[in-house]
Amino acid sequence: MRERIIGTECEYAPVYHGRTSTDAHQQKEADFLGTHENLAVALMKGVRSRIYPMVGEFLGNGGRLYVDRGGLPEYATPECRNIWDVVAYEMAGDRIVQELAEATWTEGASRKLHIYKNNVDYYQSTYGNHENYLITPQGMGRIERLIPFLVTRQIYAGAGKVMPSSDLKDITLQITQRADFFNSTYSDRTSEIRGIINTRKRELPRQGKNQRLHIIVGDSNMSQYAIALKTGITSLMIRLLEEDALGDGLVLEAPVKALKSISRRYDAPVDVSLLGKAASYSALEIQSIYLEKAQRFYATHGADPDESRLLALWADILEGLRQVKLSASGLEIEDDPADMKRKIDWVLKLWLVGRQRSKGARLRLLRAMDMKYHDLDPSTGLYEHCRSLGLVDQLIDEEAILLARHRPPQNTRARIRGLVIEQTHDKKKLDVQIENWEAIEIRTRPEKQQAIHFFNQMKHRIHALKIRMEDPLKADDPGMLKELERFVGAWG
Amino acid sequence: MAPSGQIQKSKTKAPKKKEQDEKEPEVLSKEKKQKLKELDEYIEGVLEEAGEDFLDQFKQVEGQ
Repeated sequence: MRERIIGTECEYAPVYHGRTSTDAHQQKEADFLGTHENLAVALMKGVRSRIYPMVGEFLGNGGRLYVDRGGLPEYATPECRNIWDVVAYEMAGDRIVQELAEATWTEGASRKLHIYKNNVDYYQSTYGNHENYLITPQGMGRIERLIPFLVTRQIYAGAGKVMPSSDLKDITLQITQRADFFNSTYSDRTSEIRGIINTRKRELPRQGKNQRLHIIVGDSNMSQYAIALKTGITSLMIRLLEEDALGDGLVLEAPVKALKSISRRYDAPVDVSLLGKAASYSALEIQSIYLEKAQRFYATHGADPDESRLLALWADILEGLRQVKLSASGLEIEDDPADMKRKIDWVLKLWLVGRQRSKGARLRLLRAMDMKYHDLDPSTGLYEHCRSLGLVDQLIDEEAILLARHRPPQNTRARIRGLVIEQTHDKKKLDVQIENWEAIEIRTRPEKQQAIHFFNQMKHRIHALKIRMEDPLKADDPGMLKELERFVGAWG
Repeated sequence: MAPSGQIQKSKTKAPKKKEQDEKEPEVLSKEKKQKLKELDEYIEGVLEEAGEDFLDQFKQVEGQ
């Protein structure tokens, strides 16, 4: 991929399930873990015991793990330069959080902490999965042209959501979890008023050349293919935007309405204006228009191997989705010759739910299945179980995911952050502050002040090393790394 | 987009069904049936273990 940094952020849902215990000690513990704040505290306590070096909120793999508003644990991948890394580091986050949840369990306990990677609870509170892309100011200036793409990409990036039908007797299946929570085309907020385009300015001071595009209109995906398609194709489209190759001929008449309509029926026609003329297209047709544009652009501008692979994958997925036939109710898959359920979350969820529904399972059970699809626990999660049965396709090796839990990407500034964390996390004489994604300050810890005689204060002065990492694409800084080694050797 | 404004279908061919599927339909079908049975039993077990209160316990604070 060309000179682009990509990363994702995921808010997980921790749920403490189980029966009331007759054991007083266990019940006391269960009561403590009954609040979200305490759950998050218990979860984070496990980080060091699971041998994940951490400084502040940053992990040794260069990513960030913290407790967000309302006690939701959130993991942000380190800065990645290719889609396969994005998939590996997002999956690594899933594994880390799941391991931490398992560490909270005590032998014989009647309740267990489960982590769900979804975007909506039973009471319709939502939590997000956000994407970040490095983008030029020129690309950002044309961002409105990306709207039809963002609205329609849900046909391969949606995670599926089971909802009650209007008479509450049956279910409906939406293809996204998040569509219902968007009420504006543009918004600078990430809660209450959510916009398809998030306009909050977050400058990336890379020689003043880049900005951060923050996309919040996406689902948390279990499928590796869905993560790769969502972030990879968006990245392809951003390049078209930056090079003014996207055009402004295709405009959705009502983007928010279209987002919701497509989520309810993936082949729903939506009103567009195409080259100034009113028309009606399905999401699949709109995506095909963009695919063709991208194919033409990359044929003349040279696609690197990653871009070529993504273009081919995009074409295959659209062709596969074109062949999917749903029943009139939309609750059964009548035909799926290209086996899209192996790659696309909503198709797999629909297949699982449809099978149980045809056997007589009703609303509450089917909604519980929806939630269980996203359980990261391999012994109770439906997606995880499909994976173990070989019913879904994987894009990257298990080894790459396990490695990504510890080792940062080697081609972005995350490498430098990871090295600092690796070298300093266990040094008791050093106080390391990772202020944000760009700055780290390491200070020697002061001795107890009262023990230092006035005449010895010079010997005990605080030494500090400031590390600036303004360019996210810069993975090496030999001078700085030498200085780090010297500083840690002298004072650590 | 197509100059005419018409949608042009992707020229990529649909993925072929796996060769194995054609060669060993009976074996695969047996294996597939077994997997589906296992999956159904698993789903039943998971939902039973989750219990009646499962959905009611699934309550989060609004995030971003």
